[in-house]
Amino acid sequence: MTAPLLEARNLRKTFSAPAGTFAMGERARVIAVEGASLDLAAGETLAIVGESGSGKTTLARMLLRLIEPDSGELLIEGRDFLAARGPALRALRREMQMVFQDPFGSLDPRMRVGAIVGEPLEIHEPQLSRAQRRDRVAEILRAVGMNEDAMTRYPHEFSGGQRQRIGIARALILRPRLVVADEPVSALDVSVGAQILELLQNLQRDFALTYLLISHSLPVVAQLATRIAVMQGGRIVETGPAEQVLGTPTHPYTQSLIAAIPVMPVEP
Amino acid sequence: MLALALMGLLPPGAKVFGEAWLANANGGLRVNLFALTERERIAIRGRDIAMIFQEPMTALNPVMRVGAQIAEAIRAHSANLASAEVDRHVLAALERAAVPDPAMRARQYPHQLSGGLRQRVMIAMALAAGAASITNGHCEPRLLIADEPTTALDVTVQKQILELLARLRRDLGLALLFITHDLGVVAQVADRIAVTYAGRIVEEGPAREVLAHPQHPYTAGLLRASPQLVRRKLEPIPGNVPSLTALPTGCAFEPRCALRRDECTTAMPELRNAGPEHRARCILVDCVSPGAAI
Repeated sequence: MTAPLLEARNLRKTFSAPAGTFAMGERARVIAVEGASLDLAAGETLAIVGESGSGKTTLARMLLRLIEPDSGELLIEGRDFLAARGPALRALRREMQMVFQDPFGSLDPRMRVGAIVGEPLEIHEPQLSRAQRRDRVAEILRAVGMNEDAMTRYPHEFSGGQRQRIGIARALILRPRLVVADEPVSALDVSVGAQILELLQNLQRDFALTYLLISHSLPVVAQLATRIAVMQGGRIVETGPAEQVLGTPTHPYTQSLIAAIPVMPVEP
Repeated sequence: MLALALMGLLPPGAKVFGEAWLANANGGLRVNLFALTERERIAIRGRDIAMIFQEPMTALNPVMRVGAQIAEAIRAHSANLASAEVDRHVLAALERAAVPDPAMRARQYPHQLSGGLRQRVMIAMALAAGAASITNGHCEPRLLIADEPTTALDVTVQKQILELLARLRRDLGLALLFITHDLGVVAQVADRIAVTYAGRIVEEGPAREVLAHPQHPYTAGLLRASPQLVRRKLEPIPGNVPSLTALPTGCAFEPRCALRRDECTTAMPELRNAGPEHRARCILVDCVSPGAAI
C-alpha cells in the first residue's frame, strides 16, 4: 500500500493570548489546534469545515508548514516534512500551493498579471528563458479560462472572478500536486462562485490535483469534497466520506451545523 | 444603494429621481421621503425607518460603551427624556434584542462582544429610538432595513439572528426590507422577493412563486448556480455583471443570457406580468410557460 500524500498525527498549536495591554509576566496560552490527525490520499478532495475560530486555517497552515506545530508529526509520502530543511524543503514546497480567499488582497496591484503568475517560475525554475517563461504563463492562463493578453494588464482591470482565476493560475504554474484552497469562493457572487467551483473541478481532473479545501460553507463543500473533516474548538470532531458526513452526521455539532443552513423549500 | 436612498444617506454627488412614500402611523397620511426637508428626514430616520448593516464591528463606535451608543440613538429623537428614563429604554432595547444580561452588556465595548452579540446590539439600537418615542406620543419603528445582516456571521449564529428578526417582525408589526445575496436566507425570511440586476429590479413577486417558478433568466440562473447540501451539477452563469458605466443598450442581462433574441439588444424591457403579483423584466415572459426550463 502506498503512503498517503500527506499524513498528520496529533498536531498541536498554541498561541500566547494577550493578557491585557500592559500585562506583565506569564501569558496564558490559547489552544488553537489540539490532537489533529488526518490522512490525505492523492487525488481526493478533503474539506476542513468549521466556524470562525475553530482552528481550520491554523491547521491548514501547519500542514503547509507556513507555521510550525508545537508538537505532532507531519509526513509527506512517508517522509518527515517537519525535519526537512533547505533545498529539500523547497522541493517539497513547490509541490503544494495555495489559493486565497480574497482575490483583491492576494494579488500585488503594481505587478502585471504576467509577472504575478510567472513569479514562482523565477524562484523554482530560474533556468527558463524569458520566452519559455512567457509560454508557460500563457499556457496556464488558458487552462484557467483567461485570455493570454491578460498578461500585460494589471489586477485592478479584472473582476473578482477573473482575479480568482489569476490566483489559481499562479498556484498551478509549478504543477503542484496539492492545492490548498482557503475559502476560494466566499468573496464572490453566487453566479461567479459557481464558475470557480466548476473550474476547480475541471482542473483537478486535468492536472491530477489533490485538494485541501477550507470552508465554513457546507453547501460549497458538498460540491467539491470527497471527504470532510469537521472542526470545533481546535479539534476534529467528525471525519468521513462527504455523503456520509452531510447525509447522516453522527456528531451533535455537525448535526447543528447542517440544521442551521437555510434551505430552499423548492428545487428550481 | 436603494436602501441608502430611502434612508437619505446617499454619498455626495448621488442624485435620486422618483418618489418613495411612507405611510403615516394611522395609515392615513403618506409622506414622500424624497420631498422632505433635511430636518423632517432626520426625524423619520432612526425613528420610523431604521437600518442595520452587514458588519456590526465597523458600524458600531469602538470607543463608546454599547449602552451609551443606544442612549445616543434614543436622545436624538427624544431630547427631553430624563437620564433614568433613557437608561430604562436602553435596557429594554437590549432585552428586546434578546441580549443576555443586558445591564452588564450595556457597560461593555463592541470589541468585548461576539459577532452575534454585536449584531443584536445593532438591532437593539435600530429599534430603540422608535420604541422610546412611543411614550412621547410617537409611533413605533415601522420599517427595518437590514443590509446583509448575517453575511459576516457563522451559520449557527445566523440562524439565531434570523429567528430574532422574525420574532421582532411578529411582535412589533415591523416591515422588513432584507438585502441579501443568499437565496437560502431569502427563502427563510421573505414573503416577497425583488431580484435586482445591474441597478434595476428584474423580477418581483411572492417568495415561493419566484423561487419555484422564476420567470427571468437571471433569477433562474442564480438558482441553478447556488450550491446546495446535495451535490449536483452547478450551472454557472457565464460572464460577469456589466459595469454600470457601460451598460448594454438593451436588456442588461442579454450578453450573459442563454435565451437571448435579436430584439433583446434594442431596448430594456419593461416589467411584464408573469402571474398574480409576479412581474419580470424579460420579453420572453409571455412566451414561456411557468416553470419551463429556461
